[in-house]
Amino acid sequence: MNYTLSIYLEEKNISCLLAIEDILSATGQVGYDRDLSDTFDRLINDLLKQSVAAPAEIKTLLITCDFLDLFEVGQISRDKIGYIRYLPKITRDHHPLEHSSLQELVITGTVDSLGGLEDILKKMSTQRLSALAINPSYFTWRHLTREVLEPLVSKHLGPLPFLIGSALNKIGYSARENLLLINTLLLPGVNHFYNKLHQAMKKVGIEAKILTLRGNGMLMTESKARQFPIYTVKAPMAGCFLIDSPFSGHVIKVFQQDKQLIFGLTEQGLPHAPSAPIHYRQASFQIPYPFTRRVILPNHRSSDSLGKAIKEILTSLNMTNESIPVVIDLPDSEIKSILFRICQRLYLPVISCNPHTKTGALAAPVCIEHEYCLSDYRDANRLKIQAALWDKIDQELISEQLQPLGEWSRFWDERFIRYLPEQTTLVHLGVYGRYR
Amino acid sequence: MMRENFVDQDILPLTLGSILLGSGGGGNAFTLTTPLENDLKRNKQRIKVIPYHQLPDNYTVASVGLLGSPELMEENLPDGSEGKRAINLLEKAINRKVDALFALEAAGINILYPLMVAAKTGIPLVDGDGMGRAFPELHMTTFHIYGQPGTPSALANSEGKEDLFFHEDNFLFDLNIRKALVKYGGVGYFAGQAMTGREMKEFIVPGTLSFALEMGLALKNGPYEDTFQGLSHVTKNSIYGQAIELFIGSVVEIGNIATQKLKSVVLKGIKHYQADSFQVLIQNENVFAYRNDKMVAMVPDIISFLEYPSGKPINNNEIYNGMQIAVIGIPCPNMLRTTKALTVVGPASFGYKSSYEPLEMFHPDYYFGKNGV
Repeated sequence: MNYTLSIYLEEKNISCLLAIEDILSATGQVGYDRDLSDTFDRLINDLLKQSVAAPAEIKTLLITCDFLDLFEVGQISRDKIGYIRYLPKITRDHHPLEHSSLQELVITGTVDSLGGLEDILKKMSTQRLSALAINPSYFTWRHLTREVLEPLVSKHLGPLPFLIGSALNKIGYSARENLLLINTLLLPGVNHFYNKLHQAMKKVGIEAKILTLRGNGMLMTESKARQFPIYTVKAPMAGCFLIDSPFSGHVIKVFQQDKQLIFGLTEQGLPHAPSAPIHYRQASFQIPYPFTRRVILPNHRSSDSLGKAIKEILTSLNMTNESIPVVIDLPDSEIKSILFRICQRLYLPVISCNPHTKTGALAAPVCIEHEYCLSDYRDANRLKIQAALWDKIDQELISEQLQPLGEWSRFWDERFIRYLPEQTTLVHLGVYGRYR
Repeated sequence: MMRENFVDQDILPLTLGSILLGSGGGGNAFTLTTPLENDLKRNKQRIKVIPYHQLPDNYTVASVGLLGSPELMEENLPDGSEGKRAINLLEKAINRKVDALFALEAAGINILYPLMVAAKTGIPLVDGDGMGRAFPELHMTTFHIYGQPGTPSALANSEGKEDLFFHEDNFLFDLNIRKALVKYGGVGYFAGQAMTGREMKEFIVPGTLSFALEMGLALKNGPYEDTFQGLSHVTKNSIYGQAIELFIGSVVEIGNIATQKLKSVVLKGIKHYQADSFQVLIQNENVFAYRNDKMVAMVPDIISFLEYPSGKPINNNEIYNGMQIAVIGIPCPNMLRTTKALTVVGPASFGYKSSYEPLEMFHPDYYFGKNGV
């Protein structure tokens, strides 16, 4: 038997469920202990007691959480990090995250040479840092690789987790800086989190593959989650939009959270998650997460303005003006009937579904993806390069034992950088799959 | 109101106004906002601005600005010294000292960079420009339209590269300077279009810096409804025409039209536009707008986006599927609407084979009817 253990982390509680295929076998919820591994230990033991599953039968462990939310409430640590800007010329001297309170957690140095970088690393070695971010200007990406930087960082700062800005594969220094810094601030806490999870799993005898839900509704591997915890931003919201059903086209999904009605779009069962800005403690960064429209529920459910607001949102989300289905997950029967009436008037079929909040991750596909900055992507080479990169993805699919969801699940985005020689292009390719 | 200097507090509203004048293009002006604000604050500096009508006839004036990719500029942020070197090179070529600078394109980054150079060099900036908005090509200026040569022009970058261009033909000049940009790492800073104060006053789109500032002050006061009211008031009392709301909708598609140089953004209406659709065609800047497949605005009139409901101006790079935006039209100054000007910056230059129709003619009720001006 292959069981899946799905863990959902919130501000105050951790909930989990054990499932085999689509059938729930056990569920549980605990509050946080002082030590994370004690919490996991307690949670997993409680769950195993309720189920007939043996620890060895749990093959997959799914994590749904927004690490930035946990960082905000102090459930994962907030330690100082080092940050080095590497520029061709030092013209950028303002503080990073300038108007944000996060600024206090970042010790910054700006350099224009490898010698300068080493000097800053020496200075930083006298401070207590928990991670390091290095952000080279695009013009130095080729020279400032991990192979070049790793020995230097380890010589002066020891085995410190560090991330290079070029790994984000984004042009636009300020936007990359914010994303890199917020991601690096999460690194120590998130690495601690996964270490504690492994401890707890080992203690009860679970040897499962850990996959983490991203804000775009895909699952990522543990190594990717340890490197890019920022991708979990709004992942619980993405979980609410994942639909494991035969809907192949667009669907409008509506659910209730606190005192709000939340509307969103899904396609092929995945949330519509464009890359959009997020503002966190007066720092903004851009990342894919579910696009939603919201209506605050008034005290008087029958209010005209509520019906009007719902109608407007449904009309705007029905982008193709066809009768796309509306899937509702609503506990309030009064709201349900208002929605039914409006959908009827708009000729939109309505389907009721069970709450997805905590089970969404079970329906999520795994995403295998790569990003490159190609500097010789000319017409003559183009097809050869594409074939080589797809080959790499296919090999990874085989080694991970993943089955692609179909031709539609392969994506290739390329962005040509104007005014650079030899068709310099940022490429992002990947495929969604499920375990065989 | 014409300004005689700019201080650090003016930079944010200037940025907001510059985005609107960018007509969707012009680069992310915010990139230079903080460094410029900090410089002015730190040095307690004021940038001297010469109202165009006070520009002495015998002054030598020259344009400064950025050419190439704004996003690559951000990877190696300028500090104004590149422009200063380009000015020095130009001064040697023309054998005259430059007395005042001007922005060739008063939109986006190309408002802020000339301000940065003016702060660095202490040379005053003339309140006006050569486009009155953003255009994709270097020769799409009133100076070219009315016969002023673009060269000699100097190009420099922050790594010490420098070149001078002497082409008599402005089209060839544009072509060659862009070729040079590839060697410059995608970004260069130019100084050129040197002329006398008297010549400049003949060809300039006047007061565009003050206009951008005033629009920016209106744009600071969201939400959208207030912003639009403020914009309407500022534009009505300017050499531009009164701003009009063309549409409010959600972005449903952002795509490329492979056979053309055009991109397109498709919107589905919200609020009182619920039954309608809208499409904006883009060539760097927004050039044509259609409501329910019927043309409602075209270049050189300004077609810009405001985020809805915040009212914040946005450029095309910030748009994503699902985003709610308001599309605003602003009639361009009359000097861009002459027969001569339209051959360079009119719809035909962007592939539209029919004649130009002013924004006011598309919306006669708004401009000339009972609700009009």
